[in-house]
Amino acid sequence: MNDMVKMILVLTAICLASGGLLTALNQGLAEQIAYQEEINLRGPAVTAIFADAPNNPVEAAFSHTIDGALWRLYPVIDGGKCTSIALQTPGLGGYAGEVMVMTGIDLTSSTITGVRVTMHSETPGIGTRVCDPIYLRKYQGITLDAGTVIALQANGGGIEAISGATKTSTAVADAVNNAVKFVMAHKDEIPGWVNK
Amino acid sequence: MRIFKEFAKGFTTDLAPFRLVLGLCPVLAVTSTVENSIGMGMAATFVLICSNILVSLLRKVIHPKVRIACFIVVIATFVVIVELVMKAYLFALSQSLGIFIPLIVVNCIILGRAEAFAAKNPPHLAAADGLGVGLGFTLSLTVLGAVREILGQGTFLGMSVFGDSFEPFGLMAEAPGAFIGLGMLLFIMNAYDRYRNRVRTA
Repeated sequence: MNDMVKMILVLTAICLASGGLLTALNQGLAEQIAYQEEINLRGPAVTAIFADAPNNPVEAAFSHTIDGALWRLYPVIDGGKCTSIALQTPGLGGYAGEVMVMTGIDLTSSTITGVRVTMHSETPGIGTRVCDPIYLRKYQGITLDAGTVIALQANGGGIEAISGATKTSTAVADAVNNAVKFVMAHKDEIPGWVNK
Repeated sequence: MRIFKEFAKGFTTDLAPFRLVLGLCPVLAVTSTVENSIGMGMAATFVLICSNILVSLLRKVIHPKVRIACFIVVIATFVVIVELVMKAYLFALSQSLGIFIPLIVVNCIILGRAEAFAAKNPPHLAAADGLGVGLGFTLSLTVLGAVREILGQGTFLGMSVFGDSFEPFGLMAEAPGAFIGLGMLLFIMNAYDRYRNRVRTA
């Protein structure tokens, strides 16, 4: 009995110490990690989507809180007005968890400018094929209205999945759909947010 | 001196993965370039030293029946520390090594040394053992990485070795090349050992 108590106590103590240390470290480094992801992942994705923007959307990035959630938005500013916006959204249903996707939407014409995958844990060579910009061209130019739903053809939408990578393709479509839903719901307010 | 002996054996009798046939998975996966090899070796060495020291400090407290669970928690803690620090300060390297950083948790070298040595020896010897085996592992990774990068891409640490006219032996940069490279190095080491034994007994 004494043996079992000792075992439980020691293992619990080690786990608690580990959990505490890692939580503290995670919080301490969160800002630095977010900065690294910004310059290495999100920044290049925005620059690739808005290749001919008159301003630097990454430098002009701002954060906005709405409905209790914090959003980071990358605006293209032309002649003093915000004409396009990019944002990173998560997509569920991936093979190994969520897939983060950067979606660029033209507010004046209500179309998708471009899509890039920023973070994922998908299988190299199979799921990672969704990161290919040539595949992601399927999302370019899609016209959006208030009720548009972005989904795979198998789920009633218009996007072709990559054969052999259905789950990953679903996650990307889900992420783009989340971005579209957000932008279309707040389309008229977004230019106003930029100036704050 | 005992402490130096424990350190040095990581380069001779306990050289991973050639003599201590453990940790083959990262050896085959990350040795496509020298930079990745050194990065992985250093990360694994850090985890190995820290986990060896901590396991050794706790060796009288951990009950044998739950020792594997305790070792794994200790190892996993240090691996996550390495992962977070790399993501914060060495982002490009953490992207190249990708999933193989968290996989250091299941690298058999670390669990193997914890069980076979650190759990039965005082901390200063455990640290020396961790440093020796870890650096030996790094050396093995780097040699294989050098072979694969020079033959497979014509570069060493990104710098071109042969010039523009070199036609890279692409196979060496791929997985089969890793197996072949590992096999050739093991063959050379075993042949040399056999030759040395023959010279000694002659």
